[in-house]
Amino acid sequence: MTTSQKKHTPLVLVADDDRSTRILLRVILQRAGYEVVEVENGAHCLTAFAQRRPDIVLLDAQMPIMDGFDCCRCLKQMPGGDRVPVMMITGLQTPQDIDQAFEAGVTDFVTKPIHPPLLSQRLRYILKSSQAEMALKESEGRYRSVVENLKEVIFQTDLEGNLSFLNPAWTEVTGFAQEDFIGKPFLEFISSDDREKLWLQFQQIFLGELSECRIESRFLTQSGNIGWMEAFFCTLRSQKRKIIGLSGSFSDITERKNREMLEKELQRYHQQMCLELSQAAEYVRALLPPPLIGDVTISHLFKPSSDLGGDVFDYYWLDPDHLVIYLLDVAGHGVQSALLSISVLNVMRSRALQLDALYQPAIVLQELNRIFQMGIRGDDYFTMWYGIYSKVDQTLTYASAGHPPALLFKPDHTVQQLNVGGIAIGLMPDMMYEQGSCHIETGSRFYVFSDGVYEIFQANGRLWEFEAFIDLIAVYQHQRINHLESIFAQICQIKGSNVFDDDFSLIQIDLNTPQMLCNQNAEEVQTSR
Amino acid sequence: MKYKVLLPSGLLDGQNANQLRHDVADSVAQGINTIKVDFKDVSFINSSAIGALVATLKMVRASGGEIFLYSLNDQVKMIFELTKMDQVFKISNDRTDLEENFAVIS
Repeated sequence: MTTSQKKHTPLVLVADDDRSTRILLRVILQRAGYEVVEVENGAHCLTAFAQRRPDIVLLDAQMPIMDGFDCCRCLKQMPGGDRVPVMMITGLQTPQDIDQAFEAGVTDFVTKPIHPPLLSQRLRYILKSSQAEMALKESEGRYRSVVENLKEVIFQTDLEGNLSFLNPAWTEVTGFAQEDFIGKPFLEFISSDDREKLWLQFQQIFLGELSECRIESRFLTQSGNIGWMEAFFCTLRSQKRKIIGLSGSFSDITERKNREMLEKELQRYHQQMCLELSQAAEYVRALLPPPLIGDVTISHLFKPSSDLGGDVFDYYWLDPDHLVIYLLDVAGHGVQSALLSISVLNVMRSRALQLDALYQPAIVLQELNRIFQMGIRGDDYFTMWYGIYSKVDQTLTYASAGHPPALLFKPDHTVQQLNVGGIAIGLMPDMMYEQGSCHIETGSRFYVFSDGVYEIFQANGRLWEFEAFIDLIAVYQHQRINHLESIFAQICQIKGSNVFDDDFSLIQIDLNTPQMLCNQNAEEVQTSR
Repeated sequence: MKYKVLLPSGLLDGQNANQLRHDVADSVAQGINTIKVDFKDVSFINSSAIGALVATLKMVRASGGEIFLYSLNDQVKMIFELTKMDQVFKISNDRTDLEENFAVIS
């Protein structure tokens, strides 16, 4: 039993005007396992064929109304008729009859008188081959539809690299007609920059050194553009396993490739930007003063943000008795902010201000506010804290332009915020600044910093608070920890990252007692040994 | 009296504060230079936005107008205080408060 017989009982349509022959045929066929439909002439046969869709037709040659030959011809014209085998039963055996039968489209014939085992054998054989043919046609059809509907181009070349096969996707991808390229070198449509690279691969495949390869290459389209393809090539062999060319496929990846190239370009641009920003940050860092040692010890921590925040600071002895300390923070980020902070630093260092003025914090801020008025966009202004410490008087005089207060930690562990009114420099012209002053006994320590040290968003998305920063610093005073790095480490932990959105600048100023100075000197001697 | 109410939201940074500056400029160009900015939906304000707000304020004052801010949340209010911007802007707790404080614009 064949596979399809398992599925369904084959249906045989019998057309014969002789009733006894029909009965005989039915008995033979039913015994052989077929289902049978009987009709008595050619015309009825056509109707029954259309209605029942038989797997095979048995036709008597001589019938009234429409004989077997005419009937067969008509059957072959009907939908599905060309696929159904027709077997003719004939009493005649002349060569003309046989020719006529095959001309009419008959698959095979048997002669009367009917020999039952022979008929069943013949039928089985015909059905089997008809099923096999149908299966083949179906698979061919499927294959053709796959090849024709693929978005991927499929091609074959001979050993010279001339195209011998192309599917319709070729036209869709390249715009060229299939027939225009058959017989032409495949490389003719490859961009000249990539031809040599591809030809080397082809040769390796033709020589059998390479069985397959995958490659990206540029190709030319009919409209004159250049596209990108991802191609796969492999050896094409004859049935005798001889290499006769190559088979390949490729798909159009132009869009993806363009996107990738754009991304790469952006990445390169971004890297360049980052590099320039970090160079600028290094430049700013180089301008900052080194730590100070002596009656007053100063250390600092400066961590520029990835996109440069615009912090800058300085401290130095104006005269043997007066120490200047200031820190400024330009609004916004990037090179523009850094440039403004550097130009303020230059103005301060070049002594563009009167020397007398430098002893008066409020005057310094007023003068800077006069020089640096912002533009209409409002993105070029800065906050600043400026203080001057007199060693003789143990007095700190200070002023602030919208800057966070400095924090003073006294020897008795109390904390004082060194705060005084005043808005950022550049915002409003003709501002008058106030100044405050306080007595600072030796053994005290104070901090000057930018808002970047406390204005941070924590991992949970909430803003950290200034008060929390004060508490954190206070704990460090109790523990007598001197390393600013450990404060930074703890703040990083609070932020959940060591990457900051703004510059982190923290200056620690110690006003040493004679005892502390002694210790400091002893430490130095020890290190120098 | 004609006035314009603006309602910025989210994190006010240089970019959206500049948008606000443009909106105010349009309003001033149309002859409306009394501006009320409702801060109830502003969660945070950074330094760039403050600069842009001051620039906006200067522009409005130059045209003879004024900007009023109200309904600032505690965090934003603190930033205004720390930067002393509370001395520059006319700030009220809420709209009713604003209308009482500055009767001209109710």
